[in-house]
Amino acid sequence: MKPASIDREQRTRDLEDANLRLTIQYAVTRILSDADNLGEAIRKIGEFICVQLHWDCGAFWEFDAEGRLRCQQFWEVRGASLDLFRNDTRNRAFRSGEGVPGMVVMVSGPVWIEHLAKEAGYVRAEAALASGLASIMSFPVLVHGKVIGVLEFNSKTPAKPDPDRMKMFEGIGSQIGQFMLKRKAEALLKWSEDRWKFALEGSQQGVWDWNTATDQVFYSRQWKAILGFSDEEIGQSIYEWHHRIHPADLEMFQEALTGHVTGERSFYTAEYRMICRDGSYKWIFDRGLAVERDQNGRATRVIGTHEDITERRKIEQMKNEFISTVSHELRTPLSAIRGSLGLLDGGVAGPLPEKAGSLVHVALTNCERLVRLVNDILDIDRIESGRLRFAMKSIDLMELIDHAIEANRSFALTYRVSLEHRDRLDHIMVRGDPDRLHQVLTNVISNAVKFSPKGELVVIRTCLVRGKIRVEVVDRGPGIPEEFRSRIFLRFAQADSSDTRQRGGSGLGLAISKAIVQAHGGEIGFTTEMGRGTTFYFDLPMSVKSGQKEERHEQETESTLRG
Amino acid sequence: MNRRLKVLYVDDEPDLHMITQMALEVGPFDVATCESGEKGLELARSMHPDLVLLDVMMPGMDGTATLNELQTTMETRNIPVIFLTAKSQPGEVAHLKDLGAIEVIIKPFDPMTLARDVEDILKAHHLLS
Repeated sequence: MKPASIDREQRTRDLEDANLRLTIQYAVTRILSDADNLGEAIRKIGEFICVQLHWDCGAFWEFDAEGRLRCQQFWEVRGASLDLFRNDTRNRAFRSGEGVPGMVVMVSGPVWIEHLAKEAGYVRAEAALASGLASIMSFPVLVHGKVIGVLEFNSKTPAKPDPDRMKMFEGIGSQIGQFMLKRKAEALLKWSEDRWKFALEGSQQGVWDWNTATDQVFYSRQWKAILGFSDEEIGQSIYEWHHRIHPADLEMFQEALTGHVTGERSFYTAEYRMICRDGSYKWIFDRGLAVERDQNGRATRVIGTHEDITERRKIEQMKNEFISTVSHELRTPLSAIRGSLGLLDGGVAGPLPEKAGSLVHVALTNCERLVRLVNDILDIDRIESGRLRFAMKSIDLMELIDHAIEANRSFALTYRVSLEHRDRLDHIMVRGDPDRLHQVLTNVISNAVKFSPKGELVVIRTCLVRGKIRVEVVDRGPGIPEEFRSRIFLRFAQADSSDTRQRGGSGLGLAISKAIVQAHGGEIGFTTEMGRGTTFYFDLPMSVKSGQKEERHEQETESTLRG
Repeated sequence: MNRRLKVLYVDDEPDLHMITQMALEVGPFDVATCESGEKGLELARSMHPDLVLLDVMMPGMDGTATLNELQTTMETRNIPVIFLTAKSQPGEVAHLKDLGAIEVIIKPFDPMTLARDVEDILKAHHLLS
């Protein structure tokens, strides 16, 4: 039995200790809530703990860019004279598992060593013992269970591990962790504010921020600068913006913006001219987004940017004019050459001697090739600049295929290849640009013809695949070499460079075809087998106008596929 | 059999005159040519062609101006006009049709099918049965 007095003493000490822990926890909370920055807060906490618990020094470790713990703060009680230990601590870098801080990271919890002298693995032993330190107690700063820093305390008097204090330190560790997390969020916010400020002041874009209820608009300095005005010269009225828009562009602008304000359109972009301070016009690319809407879905606040695209427009226009001119300048002499050769070849100018006839024919086919090349280059340019326009209408696909076959028949005959239309799906309507789809068919058919052996057949057929219409062009040519398959739809792609001359293509046909098919919401592809032949196909979505009969076809195909 | 139609071909490229003339005369057309919009207007008034084929890019009075003159002149306003042009961009073609041409033929054209193509165009516009 213990004497009652010892029991009482123990209880008194327990009570005192609990009081002390409460005092420390309260102080930590106060320090954190008053702190301006983390370093200062941790230092204050560390010093407070040292004084209260009679520890001699402490340190705070944080990860560097390479993921090693480095001492960021070191504090000591007055007169502790721990220069040696401090210098050693300051110069250390620990990975997870190394030294006491690394150990804390590894176990994600407190590490308490009562007798440093007896701890074989203690890295800073020499400096610590020379400085007269006996114990170390260390705990992690945790955020969502992850160690983001380590606090340590050292004492010259041996300190025995105490579970209550360890629990308190763990609590302090996560409290500091929460504080750091909050600070990081604030820093992020500040960062995004800085970015916003940069967008507002530093970038080339002008910003507008429109309150649709009051029609007050905030215009950034750059917004005004684009038009040649200083910040003070333009107020906050919406008219500062709208009345500067070129009258010819105003209606289009209003329509686009209103569409977004009412919610009919999910975004707003417009290109229009605005009059500048000096009376000249600038092209503006404007885009905006409703950031707030009322309960009816009407935008109450819209923010957007202005970009000066005058230069870009000028260059685009120059390029268009250049291409148009080159095209015209090439076509005019080509018309005369092609016309003359065509008439000679057609016998309009009377019969030609046999050899002369062959020569004229060679000249004519090469002239036609040159015309195709000019057309293809123009098409590629339009595709790449997004200016390829389509005149979409409802087309009878079988009629279109028949036309394309007729148009390519004489070409096929020169290769002694015949064309056959099989597996017709009559009355199928597709929505598309007939001229452009004809171009695709001609490209694919003429490729098939060029690669077919003499006397062979090229078959064009249609079927339904997953609700889309597939047009297939099947040849019995040599097949497409493995190494070429991935490049086949690229510009100027040809299996080998001698092919261009041999086969007489521009090398642009399939690249153009792909772009056209994609613009129709379809896909183009092929299957090929060396020595057996190649099938090129493209899928087109069916037009809603296709009749009942086709619906049934589709179901049949679907069930066949399932079966 | 239809009678032969009188066609006026206006183009500043004299090399093309002969070609177009030969190509059209394979079909039921007789072709008169001249190399400017101004002369074209003069001829259109004097010879009353059944069809005018107009180049677009010409020095002086260009194709569109010539078309406008033809359309606003009493004696010539009902003559159908087909543009024959090296301008091939779809926007340009659509614009030319909007001006009132019944069709646009792109250069270079196939001389062996030109006559038939023109006949088809005229039939499509019920100008030829």
